[in-house]
Amino acid sequence: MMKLTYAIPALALLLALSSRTGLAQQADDAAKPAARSPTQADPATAEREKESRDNVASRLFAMEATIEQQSKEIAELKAESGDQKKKNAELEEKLANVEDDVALIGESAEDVKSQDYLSVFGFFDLSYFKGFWDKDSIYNMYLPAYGTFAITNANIYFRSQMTNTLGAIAEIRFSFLPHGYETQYEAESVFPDGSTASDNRPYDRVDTTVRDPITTIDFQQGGVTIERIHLTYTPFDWLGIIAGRFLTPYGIWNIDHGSPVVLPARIPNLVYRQLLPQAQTGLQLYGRVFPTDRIFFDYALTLSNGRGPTEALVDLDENKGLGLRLKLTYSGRNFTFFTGTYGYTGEYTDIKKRSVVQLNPDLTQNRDADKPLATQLIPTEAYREYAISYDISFELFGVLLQSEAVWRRVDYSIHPEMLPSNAIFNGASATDVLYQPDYLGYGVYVLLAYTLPVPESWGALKITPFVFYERGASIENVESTKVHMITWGLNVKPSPFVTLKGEGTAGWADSPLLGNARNLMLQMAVSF
Amino acid sequence: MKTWILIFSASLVLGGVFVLRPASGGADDTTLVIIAHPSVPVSRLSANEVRQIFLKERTNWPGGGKIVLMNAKSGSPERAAFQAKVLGMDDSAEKAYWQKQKIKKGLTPPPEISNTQRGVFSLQQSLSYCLKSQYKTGTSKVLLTL
Repeated sequence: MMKLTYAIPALALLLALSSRTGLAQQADDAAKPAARSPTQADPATAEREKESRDNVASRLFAMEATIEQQSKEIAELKAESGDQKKKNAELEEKLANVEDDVALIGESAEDVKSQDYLSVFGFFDLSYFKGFWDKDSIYNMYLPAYGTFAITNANIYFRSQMTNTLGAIAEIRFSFLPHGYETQYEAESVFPDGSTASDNRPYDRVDTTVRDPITTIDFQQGGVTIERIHLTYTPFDWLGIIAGRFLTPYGIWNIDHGSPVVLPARIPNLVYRQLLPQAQTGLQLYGRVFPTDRIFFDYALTLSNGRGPTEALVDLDENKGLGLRLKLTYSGRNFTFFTGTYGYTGEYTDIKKRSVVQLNPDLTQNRDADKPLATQLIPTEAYREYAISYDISFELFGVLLQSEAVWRRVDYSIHPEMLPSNAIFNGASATDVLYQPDYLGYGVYVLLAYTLPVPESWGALKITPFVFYERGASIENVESTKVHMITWGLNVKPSPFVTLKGEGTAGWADSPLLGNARNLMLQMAVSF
Repeated sequence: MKTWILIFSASLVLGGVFVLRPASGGADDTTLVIIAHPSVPVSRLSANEVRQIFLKERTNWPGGGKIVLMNAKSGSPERAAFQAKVLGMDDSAEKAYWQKQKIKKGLTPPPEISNTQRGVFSLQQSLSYCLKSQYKTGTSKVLLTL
């Protein structure tokens, strides 16, 4: 009863408050303009408006999604575009490089080819020679004892590599000869009682002095010699062909042959006596094989006119000269060794020509004769020769040891008259006529040299002292040809293009008629 | 104590830096590659064979075909490296060699061009060299590295 008592007024209070609230709300509502409640509005319009609002919202959402999607796509496209630009830039750069390369390709190829079309180079030397012998010495026959300057070599090379396998070379030697060449000496015989006899042959020397009619300047005509001129076809290292006039592929000196290349100034006896022909006209097959990367083996087979008085121009017999070269080389950076041999055989023939005309007694031509006109070839000298050479060379850390030897046998079928100078040395009198018998000839030399080590600051300078001994008997049964010679000297190369040589030579002849001789030779050899 | 620890640690770090740092300069700047046109019928050459070729002791590829040689310009770093590593000659010794060969056999030295890689790229059967640091892969084949 008590609880209800309080509850009733509480309830009342609550009702009042809510009413009050309700009344307040109504009052508030009353203050506002009367709004149209949706339930009170036109249902169709409301529905349309709602639909419209929904549509707009959904379209807005869709547009936002599309915009977002497109933004992403734009961003991706921009990124791709950026990569593409970078690639394009790289491609343009490569293209520019390729265009440069294409332009330079032509230049490179032409550069390489043009440097091998035609080369001109050569060498010459100036020598000073001084003999030390008596003023009446027999050696005056070769050269007077007074010192003399001389241009001993002046060679020009023309070389072309026309294709990869085809080349040509010409080596031309210019000389002041034949001007000054002595063709005849006076000869006098002296008897014990002091009386003399002479054959009255005058001394003669070639004089090629001519005068230019316009300038009136005198000059001496010199000469030109073709040392070699040939085509070279080399399709393989192991097989090549040389056709023309070539240096005989024997030994060391004959191949080196140029004064800037060889160490001493003096030429060995076996070379200048031509125990083997210096050059031949014909064909050469040659090649090189490499059993290992340090060892190679060379061969050469020669077929030529051989020797003869006019072999470079025309052969005077049917027989040809045959030769075979074999050489083994070990080639390393600091050590080189080679050894080789060359065997040669050929026939030498000299002829004279005689024209024969058949005549009648009244001196008219007898055309009824078997051979009304004929040209006879009359051999005046003929021999077959066999020769063999051997060469060896060691080069190790500046030390050079090289040696060559040649042996030659000559068998005559038609013996010539012995040269008067040779006949005299063999004891003949001034009126004797001797005929040259068959003979053996040989020559051998040994050369030892050492290139001194020099400081690097001295640049290209090379200093090489050397000693060079040789023994020769080019015609063993002619005493005057038997000699010993020893040469010692210095070879100095201040640059790759200039060589200075200074040497002294002492010679001993087997013949007491010749005696001993000494000489001094200085030489400057230039290659260009 | 702390000071000593700090010093000890610092020295360990510094020591590691000196021991473990990469070798200065990287690869040898004169490393040479012997390069050839792709048409060349060999895949490798020994140093001695390269020497013989450039001294014209060998002039043809095995099986035929002239070796087309190119030298770098005289005085260039690759030429100097080639002379030292392959030929065993300095510039003046090489010149002296070719003067001798001219007179003996009429041989002339290989032509010189300014860019050996371009030369090898353009000429069949060609052989040359360049510094490895300048070599562009794909322009030629390498037969030897020195």
